[in-house]
Amino acid sequence: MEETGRRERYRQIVAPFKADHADLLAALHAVQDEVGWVSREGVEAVARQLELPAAFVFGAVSFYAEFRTSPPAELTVHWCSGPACRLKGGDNIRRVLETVLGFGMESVSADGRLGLHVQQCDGSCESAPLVWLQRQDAHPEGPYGPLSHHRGRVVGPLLVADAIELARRLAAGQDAGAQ
Amino acid sequence: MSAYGDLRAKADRVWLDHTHPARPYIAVNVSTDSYARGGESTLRELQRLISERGLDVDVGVTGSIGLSYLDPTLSVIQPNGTRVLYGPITPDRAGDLLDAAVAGDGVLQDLALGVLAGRVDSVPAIAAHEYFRSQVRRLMANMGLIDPGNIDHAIANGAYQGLDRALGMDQEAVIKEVLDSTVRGRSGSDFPTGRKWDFLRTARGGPKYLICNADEGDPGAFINRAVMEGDPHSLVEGMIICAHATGAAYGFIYIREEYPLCVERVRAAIVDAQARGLLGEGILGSGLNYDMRVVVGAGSYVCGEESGLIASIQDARGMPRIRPPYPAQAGVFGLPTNVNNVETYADAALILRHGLDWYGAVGTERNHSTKMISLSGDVRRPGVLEVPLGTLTRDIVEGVGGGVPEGRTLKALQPGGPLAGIMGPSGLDLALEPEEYRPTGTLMGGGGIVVCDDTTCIIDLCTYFQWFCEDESCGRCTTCHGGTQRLTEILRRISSGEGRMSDLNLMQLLADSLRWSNCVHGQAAPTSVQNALQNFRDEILIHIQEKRCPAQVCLGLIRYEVDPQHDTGLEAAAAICPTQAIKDADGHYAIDQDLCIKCGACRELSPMSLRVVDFLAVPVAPAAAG
Repeated sequence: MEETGRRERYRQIVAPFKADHADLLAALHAVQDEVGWVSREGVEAVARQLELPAAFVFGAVSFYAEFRTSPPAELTVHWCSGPACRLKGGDNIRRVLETVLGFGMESVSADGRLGLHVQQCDGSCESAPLVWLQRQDAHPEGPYGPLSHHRGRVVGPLLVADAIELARRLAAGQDAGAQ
Repeated sequence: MSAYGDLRAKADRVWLDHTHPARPYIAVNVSTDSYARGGESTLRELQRLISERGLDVDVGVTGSIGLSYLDPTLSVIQPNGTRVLYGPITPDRAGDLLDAAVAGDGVLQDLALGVLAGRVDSVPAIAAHEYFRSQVRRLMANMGLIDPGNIDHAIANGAYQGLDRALGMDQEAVIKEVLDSTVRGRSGSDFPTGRKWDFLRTARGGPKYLICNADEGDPGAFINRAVMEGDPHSLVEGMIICAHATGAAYGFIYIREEYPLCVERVRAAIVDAQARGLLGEGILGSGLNYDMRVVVGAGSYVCGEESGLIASIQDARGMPRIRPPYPAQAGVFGLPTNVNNVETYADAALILRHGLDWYGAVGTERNHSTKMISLSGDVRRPGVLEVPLGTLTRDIVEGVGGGVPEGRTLKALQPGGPLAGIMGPSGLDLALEPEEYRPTGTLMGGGGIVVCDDTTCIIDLCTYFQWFCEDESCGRCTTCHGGTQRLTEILRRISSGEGRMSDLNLMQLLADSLRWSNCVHGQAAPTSVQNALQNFRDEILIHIQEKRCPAQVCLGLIRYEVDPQHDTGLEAAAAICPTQAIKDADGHYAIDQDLCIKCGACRELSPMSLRVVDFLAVPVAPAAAG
């Protein structure tokens, strides 16, 4: 029963998209936006709707860094890997986040609460070195909404010591001002 | 009146009301730049105070004027038509700003940056500001002034005027004008835009497609983001003009996932243009039928390569393929396609709006008009700017950007993204033209410039770029996915202290092999390493032969030591250490080198007592416990 319900939900999510219409990325984004990640059922729903083999769809999913094939953490720290951050000690920040939280980039903590993700440069370099804190359940409104929704809240410029304290607060279950 | 004339007349009325409001109007910069510096909190605080105090003030949205380092910026438009730019307005200054705004001709003097419109005695014009003095704003003319979500603001400031003119010209005449303008692909491809358009015009078969490559993935480049966030209609107009000139029926704007505000604003611009008859059937009452939509990427740098982009749009992994055939013969869905980047389309709109005389009045003989630049890294004033082509790079980095921070010296410039390479300080003397950059082994590229001061290690920088190229390789060519991987390994080996003299030849050999990759990603991936081998050979040799990192960045070549023992910050330093490597034995601190991850946090808290020393320069400590 639950499986039927899920399948119906996926069917509704992908219903607006058409085969041979350059819709694959849009359909996968719709699934990830609604569900939080692209599950096997999500891949199958997209494949059926776009009349593509599921393996082909999964091949595309695995090609792109921003499609997740497992559920995201409740709160993800997006670590900016860009050159401006790098020049200002960004790699030290990566190492202390991994050390304090006890897991590496592209991983989620055992309890599913925290995650680390490598973010490509989006040109917010005036705040370098920086990380973004994004709560999975946040859907902020207002003119900054798309940024808050996709990126969460920026924290920067960060000293390494700031990053350690941030990671310790997060590990202790404190919200650290994330959205 | 013509269809365009009707639109313009209505838009002019809207703009007049906007620039002469009945009560003070605060236009807040809502952009990625402003967001990263806390603009959302400022906006919320303004709205809270206005409702709490019951003030007669309106708040609206504008784009970024480019002054990222002074964000959150905003401007106040007064009923008398004056407009003053302020920044940084943090939430704690929002009240002061409102006090000044409601005081008639009041000005918040200490945060006023310049006058954008009208005359205010106590504030100079924005053109006199150090960030603006060398700039010529053409593509950026409307940025920070108009509301990017308001099509009337764009039209009143010239949008779609070039389209109206182009629709009165035949296809060949439009293409000739674009060709004569000298404009070439602003992504760094450098290919004459007019010729590319003519390829599509004369291509057999159809329907024909347009693509805008807005997958600006070069780390440190955020020019296209500025255009799409600040003045999206300039891009939409450029593409409609191209559709008229080439006979294209449909267009895709491929925007990277990392730019959510661009996606929203370009989508809104398309919807507004459709509603005004600027897209769809019979555009502006002519026979032109053309429409388009946004495709959102999903985090793949190689999709910025045009054949990768096409593959990504038409339902697949974004893997570049061998060319020919070129997009003009077989692009998206195997049909004739033209691909240009955001700035190129926006430039085309300017050419048609103002004509060749205006366009050629700025720039050099071979490169007319301007180029947008994004500045980041070790520079005092990071941001987005626009200068005439041919401007000295020095005038950009030092003049507009203010140079490296106080007390530092310039070590390197990294223009044009990870595929374009690294220059020494002599790069400051290059004029901003592709022809000037190319002989030095670097590229101007899309116009991102990352400034590196003397705290930068060239091995570390190259490691970053090779890691990036490895991470983003599509995996098709062994030369590329294997070559970038090997280069990364060798660079990491050097930074760990295990470098060998043979690594120099090995890196050159790999760089030569990578040139045989199918697409520009693999071909250009080793550029930074090759530049380093030429321009920073001594520093590489010091790493390999002396096992020393002059900038004290490479982890295998440095260690932290406590010396002397008497800084008051030592206790805090020991407490912050993420691995508890700083041991306190009866007030005597020492670092357990096996635990230390060399993150440097302790040194931030106890700069007097924690020293970074060369690994080999340290005498081996007497056998410690464990």
